[in-house]
Formats: sequence, C-alpha cells, structure tokens
Amino acid sequence: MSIADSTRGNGPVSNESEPEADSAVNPLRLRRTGALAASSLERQPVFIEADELFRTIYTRAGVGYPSEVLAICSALAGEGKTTVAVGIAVTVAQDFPEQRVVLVETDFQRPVLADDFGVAASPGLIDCILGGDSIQVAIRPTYLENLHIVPVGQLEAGRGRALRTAAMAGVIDLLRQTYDHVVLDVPPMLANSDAALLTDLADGVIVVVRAGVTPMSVVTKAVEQLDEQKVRGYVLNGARSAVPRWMRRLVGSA
Amino acid sequence: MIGKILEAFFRHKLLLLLPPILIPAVIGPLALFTAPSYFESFAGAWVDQPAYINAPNDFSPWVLPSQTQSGKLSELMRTDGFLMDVARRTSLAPLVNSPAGQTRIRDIFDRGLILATNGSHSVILRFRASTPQLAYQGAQAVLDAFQERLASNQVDQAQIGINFYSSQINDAQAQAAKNSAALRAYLDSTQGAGSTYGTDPTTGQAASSLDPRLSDLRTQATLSQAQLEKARSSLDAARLASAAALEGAALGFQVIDPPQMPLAPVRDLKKSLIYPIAGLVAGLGLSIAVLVLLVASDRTARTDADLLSMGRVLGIVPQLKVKRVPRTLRPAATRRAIGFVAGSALPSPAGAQK
Repeated sequence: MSIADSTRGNGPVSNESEPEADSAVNPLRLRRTGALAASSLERQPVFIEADELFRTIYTRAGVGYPSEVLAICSALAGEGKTTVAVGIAVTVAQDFPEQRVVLVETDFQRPVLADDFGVAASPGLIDCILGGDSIQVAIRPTYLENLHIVPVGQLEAGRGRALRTAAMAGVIDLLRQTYDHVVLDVPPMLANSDAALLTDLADGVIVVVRAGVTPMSVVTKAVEQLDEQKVRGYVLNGARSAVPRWMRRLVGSA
Repeated sequence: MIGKILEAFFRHKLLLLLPPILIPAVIGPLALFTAPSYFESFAGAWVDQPAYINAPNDFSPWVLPSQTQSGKLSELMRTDGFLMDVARRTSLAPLVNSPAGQTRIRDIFDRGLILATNGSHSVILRFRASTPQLAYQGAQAVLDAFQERLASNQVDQAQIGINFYSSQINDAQAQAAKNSAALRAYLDSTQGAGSTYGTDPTTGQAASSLDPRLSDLRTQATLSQAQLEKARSSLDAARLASAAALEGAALGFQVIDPPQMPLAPVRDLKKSLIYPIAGLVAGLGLSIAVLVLLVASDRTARTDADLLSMGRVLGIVPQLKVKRVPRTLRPAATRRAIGFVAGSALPSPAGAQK
C-alpha cells in the first residue's frame, strides 16, 4: 500500500479539481526523488514520528487560535523553513480536520511547493497580486481535504516589489477570513527585505535555524528585524551529532 | 565544553587524524632511507683500578673500575694533546697541523667515539667513521694511545718515587758519614778512650755516661745509620712497587676484543625512528591546534542549549540521512518525505511502500 493511500480518512483530491501539472515539473524526477527519499528514510524513527515532532512544535508555538497567521522564517536560505512550514501545516491540518489550513509560499526566489505537491506553479500568489486576479485561482487542494497550498507563482522580473504592495496585505486578510490557520513560508530575512514586512502581517513567527550552519550572529541579526513580541520560538533544523552513541553515553550529555 | 570538543573531533575526524598519520607516514620512510650509513669498529677491554706506587687506594669503593677507566679515557679524549696523539696514529694525521683540521678531528671523534661500560670491569669502545679503514684505525689508535698513556704514567710515577728515595739515601749517607767522622774525630782527640769505648760496649756505655759529648755523638751516628737503612729499604720497596705497578698497568687495561676492520656499512635505524616519532608528535600538536581552532571558531548553533539564550526552543528536527538521492535533491526529498508521513498530504511517490 502506498503512503498516500494510508487510512487517514483524507482521500486524494480528484484529478478534475487539480490543475494540470506544469511542464517544468519533471514527473520522473519527482517520482524518483520521492520514492528514494521515502525508502531511505522510512526506517529512521524521526521520519516515522515526524507528525509527532511537528505536533510538539506547533503546540509549543501556541498554534490553535482561530484565524491565526503564522510565519515561518529563517535568516538565510536553505535553513529548512519550507520543510518546517510544510510539516506544521500538514500536521495541523491532520490534527484538526474540522479546521481549514492554507500554506502560502512567498519565497519567489526558491519556489518549491508546486513541485513538491505536484501541482501547477501558475497562477500563483504573485500572479494574483500583480494581475489583480482573485486569490482563489492560486489556491491548490492537496491530499488532505482541509489543507490547501498557495504556490508563489512563476518567477518574472520586477516581482520583488509585489510583496510590498497593499494587495499582499489584502490577500493575507482574505486568507485569514477564509482559513483557520494561515502558514506563511517567508523568504530569508537577510536575503530579502520583504520578509520583515511579511512577518509584520503575521500573528506569530517561528524562526528556523540550521544546526551547525548558520552563525549565531546572523540569527541575531535576522531576529532584530522581527517584532520581539511575535517570535513564538526557534526550531533547530538538521541537528545531528557526529559523536558515536557509545561516546555520548560515556560522557553523558556530550 | 567537552561535548563541543568531541563534536568537533568526530565531525572533522578525517581532517584531524590526517596530520598524525600522514606526517609520520611521509617522514618515516624518508628518514629510514636517508639515514646516513657508516662503518663501525668495536673493541672490548678488561680494566682494573689504576695502580699507583705506595699510594693507598683512594678510589671510591662505589665507583667501578670500568667507570673509572672509562671516565679517564673520556676526559683524555676531551684534551687536545691526547686527541691529536690519537689522530696522528690514523689517516687523519695530516689534519693535525692545521686548526681547521684539528676542529674536524674533534668533530669526527666527538661524533664517532662511544664509550660504554659493560659490567664492573669491561669497557666497550665503538668508533664510527665514514670508511672502514678510519673506523678500524680510530678504535685501534684510541686503545694504543690510552695504553701508552697508562704505562707512561706508571713509569713516571715510579721514577719519581725512586728518585725521591734515592735522594733520601744520599742525604742519609751524607749525614751518617758526617756523624761518623765527628765521632771518630772526637775519639781521636780523647786518645785511647775511643778504642776502649769503641771495643767494649759495657765500658763504652760507661764512658759515654761519663762523657755527655761522646754520648751525643754516638747517638747521632746511630740515628743517621738507622735513617740510611730505612731509606735503603724504602728505595728497595719503591723499586719493587714500581716493577709491580708496571706489571699491573698491563693488567689494568687488557684489550680483550681487539678492533676489527668493519666489512659492511650500518644504518642507525634506531636514531632514524626519532623523526617519525617527532612527526607524530608534531601531527598531534597540529591536530590539537586545529581542533581548538575549530571549537573556538564555531559560532553556529548545534544544540538547543545554544539557542536558549535567544528564546524558546520549540523543537529540534534531526537531520535525516537521505541515501541514494543526488545531493542537490536531498532537501526536496526530505521535505517531501516529511510531508508524506506527517499527513499524507503529498502525492504518493510511485513505488514507495510504507
């Protein structure tokens, strides 16, 4: 039995309602990547208990209030904020079937959600903001009935200003009215000045820090741009100890 | 702190283990193959304490004869006179006449000559040189020069003793002759009393008791005669001791194993081992320095404790080991895999079975 066919009570979205996959998405690569990842990860406890892990994260972050916008940010690119955003959105959607969750991708420099979920990348968030279309056209269903995603859309010149427009705030307000939980995948704080504006639109911010990669001074610099009251906490991503287990037992906490 | 050090060590174990492995691995064979070869000649001698004429054995009972003779030879080798005497007996003789040559000779013998004691009476001499002839000549020359020096010392000391006791005899003889002449002159002056006193001890004693002058002269003559006899016996004893010492000198330094001409060069591999060991120590030092630098320069957050100073840590997402996936696709693979399991929200990858 496939993973998607697991008995969670959330059937896949019908093909009719799912837009055609973008030609840029390579189905072969997607299948290969997903299959290999699943087969190589499935024996790792953290993979099996991923839902529990993200449940702990969103519980500690105080997620659960209605119409809440939660921004997931990081100081630099590649720290795992999209992974954490996907994990939180999926887990919240699964844990609260009666509540609607939307995951909004705002990092137009590294769009991945459409590819990951196997949906059309366009029209996306940017297209709606700049083109004046309704945000409804950018919302994509997923295999979870109460979870939707909004891909950022096709990358074109001049889109960097889109996130600064009043239309962006309007989109967030609209999503806040439509969904119980809005999860924003925010661009890197130090790489994109729009990120700070997006976090201002959110009710809470979770900062993702890549273990062993991001210097603390950089994290501090990024956090200084955030509203201190909105920071719910930090998620350490990619933590791995190179010390053998027997050695850690020997020295205790090492 | 120890946790950070261990973390840095195991994270960079290849980098840190490389210097202590690579440096000795490179230096070791180089040191072994480039170790200079030389020729070495051995000699063994059976030694005893030096025998001095009529001198009490003032050597410490705790110092072994081999130590005494070895020390003596070592001290002599540090003198220019003895060293040049040794060099003159070898093919280095032409170098003796120039200061630069003497310096070279000293360098050769300082580096080449090794003296070692082997027990209480055995001294081992080793001489290393660049040629087998020089090795043999050097060892032989040291032995010959030292034996000659020992014999010469004994002869000199014996001669001094004999000369001393001979001069004492001469003095005693002169004194005895003078006293006898004085006694005879006094007896002649007393006319006849001398014959009476001289032939009859009883009457002579009686006469002496009657004549204090005569008694004094007679006593002096007797004393000088006794001194003469004592000096003669001392001279005899000195001659005897001299002969014995000369014999003893030969016995005090006997060459048991004469030096041989070395046939094959040797390499001091033990000495060459110091270079790999030094390389190992240097490599370890380098690794420790690198480790300290790595720990000190690591400003990243690796554990939740590092983030606690900034705020609340909501959770730790461990790094997943994604295998059989190209490196560039691993973040996407991890993200998708988490999405699958967290809520089956993502489409099923074909062929993936749970």
